[in-house]
Amino acid sequence: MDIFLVSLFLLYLIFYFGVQSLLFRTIDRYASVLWQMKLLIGGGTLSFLLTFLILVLDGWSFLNSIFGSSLISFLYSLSISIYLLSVYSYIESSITVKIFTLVGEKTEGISRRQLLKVYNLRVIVKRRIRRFLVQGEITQKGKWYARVSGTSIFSVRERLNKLILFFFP
Amino acid sequence: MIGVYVFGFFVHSWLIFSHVSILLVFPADTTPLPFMSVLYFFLMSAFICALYQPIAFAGAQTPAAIILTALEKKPKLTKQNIFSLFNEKLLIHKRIEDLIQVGILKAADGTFELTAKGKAVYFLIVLSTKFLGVTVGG
Repeated sequence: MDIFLVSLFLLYLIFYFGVQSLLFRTIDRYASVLWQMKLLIGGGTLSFLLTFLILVLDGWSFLNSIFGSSLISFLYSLSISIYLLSVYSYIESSITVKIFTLVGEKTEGISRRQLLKVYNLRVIVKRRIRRFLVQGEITQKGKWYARVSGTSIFSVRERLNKLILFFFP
Repeated sequence: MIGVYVFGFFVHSWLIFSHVSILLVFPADTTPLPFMSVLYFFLMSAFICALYQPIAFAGAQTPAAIILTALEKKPKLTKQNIFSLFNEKLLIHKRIEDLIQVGILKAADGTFELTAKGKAVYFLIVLSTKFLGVTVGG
């Protein structure tokens, strides 16, 4: 039973990375964070329902089926959250990683001027504005940008940062 | 910094494991779940480590957070207003210096190149982005 649950969990993870690998080659890259949220919430719900169905059909008691599927769903969400926080967020938005890969692309090396030609303050800010617009964090009316909602995934991180500074000034 | 992560990992791992090894059993027939317990313990520990990460950047706001905070203070901003919030020296040059200090980048004859360690890291990044179907955004 135990091995069976672990196998199901691994199967869902393989499914997640398979879907991401195929999907993220086709979607607008600025909407990728939204898609990740959909995969996290949708995948968590789907893994719960699917596991519950499998366990009930396999003859498990109702209580054990609920417990087993909740556990699998929780572990799935936990794994994806770890991946998003520790790997994906850096690939998606880290300036340091971008600079590093730009240098790595040029085997003969790259000068500071060449680097700043392709990646500079304007590029960095424009990408973030575009990402916010696609995700619906901000709106654009003419030349003006305004905030849409008060709480977002970015503001949560910002508030956490402020909390850390409050306790460890 | 790595020492903090390793220490945090083991302290929390021990705390979680001491609870999880008791908790993870099927409620109806109390069948133990040893493999799930171990998995749960590792994932919870890794999650706590992932949550520790903002501490490393405490005091330094991300560009995304700077834009959102500015839009909270002033309801409307133009693109020029947003550009003026940033300083290229802090945004790019400081990061280049950090990469050199870590030892994955080197400056030679006015150009930047990857060190041997940097090439290994770069290879890992390229491999993982190809596998995951994503590109480095920045």
